[in-house]
Amino acid sequence: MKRIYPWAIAALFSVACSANEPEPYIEVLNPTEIDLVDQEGNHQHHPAVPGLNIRSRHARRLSVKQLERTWEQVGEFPAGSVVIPQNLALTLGQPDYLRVTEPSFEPSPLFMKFMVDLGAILCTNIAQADAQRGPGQKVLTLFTDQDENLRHLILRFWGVGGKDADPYIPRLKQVFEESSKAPLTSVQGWQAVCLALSTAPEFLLY
Amino acid sequence: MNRPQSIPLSLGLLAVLLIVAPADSLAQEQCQTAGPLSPTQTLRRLSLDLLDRSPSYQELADVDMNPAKLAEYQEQYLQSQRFTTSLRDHHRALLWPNLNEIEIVPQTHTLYPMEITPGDPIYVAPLRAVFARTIGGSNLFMPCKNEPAKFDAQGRLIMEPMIVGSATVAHVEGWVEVEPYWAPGTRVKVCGLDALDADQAVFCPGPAERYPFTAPICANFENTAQSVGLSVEKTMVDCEGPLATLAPECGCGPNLRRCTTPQTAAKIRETMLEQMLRVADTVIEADEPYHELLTKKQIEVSGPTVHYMKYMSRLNFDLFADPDPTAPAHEIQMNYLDEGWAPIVRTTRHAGVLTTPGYLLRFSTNRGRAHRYYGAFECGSFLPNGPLPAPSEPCSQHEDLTKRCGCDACHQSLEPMASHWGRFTEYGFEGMTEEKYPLSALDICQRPIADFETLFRCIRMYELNPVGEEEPFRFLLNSYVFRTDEERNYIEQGPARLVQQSIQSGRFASCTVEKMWHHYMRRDPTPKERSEVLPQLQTSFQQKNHNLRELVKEIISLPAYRRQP
Repeated sequence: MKRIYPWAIAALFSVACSANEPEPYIEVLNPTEIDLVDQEGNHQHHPAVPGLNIRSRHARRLSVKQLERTWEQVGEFPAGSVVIPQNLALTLGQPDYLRVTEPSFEPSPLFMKFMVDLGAILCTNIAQADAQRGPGQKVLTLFTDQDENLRHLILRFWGVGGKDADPYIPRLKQVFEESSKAPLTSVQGWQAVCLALSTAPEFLLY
Repeated sequence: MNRPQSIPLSLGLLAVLLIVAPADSLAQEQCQTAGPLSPTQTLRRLSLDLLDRSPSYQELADVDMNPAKLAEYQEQYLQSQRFTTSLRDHHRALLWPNLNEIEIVPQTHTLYPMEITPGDPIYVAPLRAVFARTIGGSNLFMPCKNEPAKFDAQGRLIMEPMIVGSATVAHVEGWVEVEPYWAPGTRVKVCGLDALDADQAVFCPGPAERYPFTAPICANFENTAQSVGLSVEKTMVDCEGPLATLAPECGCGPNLRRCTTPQTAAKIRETMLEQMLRVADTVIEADEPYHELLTKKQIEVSGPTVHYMKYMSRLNFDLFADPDPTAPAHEIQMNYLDEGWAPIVRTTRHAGVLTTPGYLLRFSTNRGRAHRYYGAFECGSFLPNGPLPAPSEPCSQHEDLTKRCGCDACHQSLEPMASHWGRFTEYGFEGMTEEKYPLSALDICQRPIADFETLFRCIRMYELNPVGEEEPFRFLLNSYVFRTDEERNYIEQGPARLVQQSIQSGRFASCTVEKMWHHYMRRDPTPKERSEVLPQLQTSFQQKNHNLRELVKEIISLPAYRRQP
């Protein structure tokens, strides 16, 4: 199977741009090292991206354990309440240290399929839990102002705050509006936003 | 987790497509990667890496409002207990904790619930059923009857013949009710034979017509015993020892304490593995030098492990795990249900995780133990130096693998390393004291041999029938065969010597730095980083008394860690 570099995916989807900071060490890579591979396995030379000259930490998708704890955190669920079954955890790359001793962090299509399923389940669970929560304690509708609420959700799910969140607002607003048109409700609109946020690279990679 | 009933699929897909597909305006933007992360994204990265979870909304909002809070949270994360827990996966990746393939008790002592009446299980050990009930017929597995057991006037269990046609196919009994060790205060139904609680019973009582499935095994045992002037058939044996398997009247003992169920066996395995991880936890938690993970004498034990050491560890004939005076878990007053952890101090050659039952069982040979240590803590690997020569080559005839062509490239390093575990039983976890396992078999393996268990130890642990180059090592403990005087010293000192050597050479520090780098940077270092950054980290790690928390702090403070991918 052709390898899809996680950092390449992150680079393609990353939209937060800012100026370079002064660096104590900067390494210029040999251009042949920068070799992107698309879904079909074709190597493509990416147009010049200045930042690629600087070494950074690689992006990696969340591990099974991180997914469980992260969902508890963003959904305000009790600790230990999100449990991915052992056999599914193995499928999602968690080793059993008998047959498989190396964890896999490939953001594969199979992984994404499960993340869409998991997002659908847990976003619904959050909406159900929100129905029991008082004002000021809800997750999907903490703020009544639509933009403010979207900013809150972007910060909660992705850790993207301030102006960095601006580019996402119109698109998520579209998700909300399309998903809350009658006969659907605003609750379903916010669930759709939750699903959009939780299946995005900004949530699954870090 | 509950299955949702809302979010129609098409809506979900729309949401995913809308958010994943980049908007035109964004795609056209000149995107510069590797800029510094924003404070909130840095917080998310730190939280996921150090605590295995995303930050709370409150933490994110705090840092969004006041970026100076980032440093405060970083320190808070580093000092939290969750930081220690987050490193467990790293240690799992080093220690490969899985004992599912290890038969910690023999199948004769494994009880399974059998529901003859739905909802009213009777516990039965299937292999004991074959060994002690079945005589013939087409069904080898013959459980007990679904009725209360009967006893004679002397209190002995009555076994009644089961006749099919005109042939007796088994002798069967009824069930008894027992309060099991795993659920005090309750009673479970157990087949009468399995519930027997004798301390001693007759080994291979015969005749062969009554016990046809154990008769050939008993004959082999008897032949072996007779070859050294012993006799084992019809002798009384300890029901908590390895010969209990072939003594039909040795049952599970009081409160079934000598038997496992699938659940209790899983719990015992789990606590053995947990014990290893807790060694790592305590070292990190207390900011002890990280190499204490591999050298410290103190470990903790929990109820299930203590129960196993007291009542079960000797039962499996193929597992050498007699109560170990150098690691006295069996002396602790805990019962199976005690889930707390009590410290014990091990003596002699014990060394951190490297001599815990979990590690020794997971890597059951000394070569396997050394190999995993080498990969995990010295970042080393063994690579053959070419194809194996033909077996007919004179060079392939060496018994000593350090001399045999094709094997020598690895085994010249591996054999001396493996010898550090030379005084721990292979296929077991017993510390082999000089008293019980003297260097030479001449002291315990010559006639008259004390008993059959000693004979078995002699056969398994000593070089009794040397071949070729092995001849000079006749009667020595297996781990001493082919070892030089220097390597014998390694055996005497145990794995801690190997670790000390690695600490002194810097290999332990450089490997730890490399592993931690990979853990937090999620990639290999570049050649430049390897030559410039890693040595600095290593020096600092060594100067700070091998403090892992400090090392992690330095790595996550590197500008490279805090850039966008």
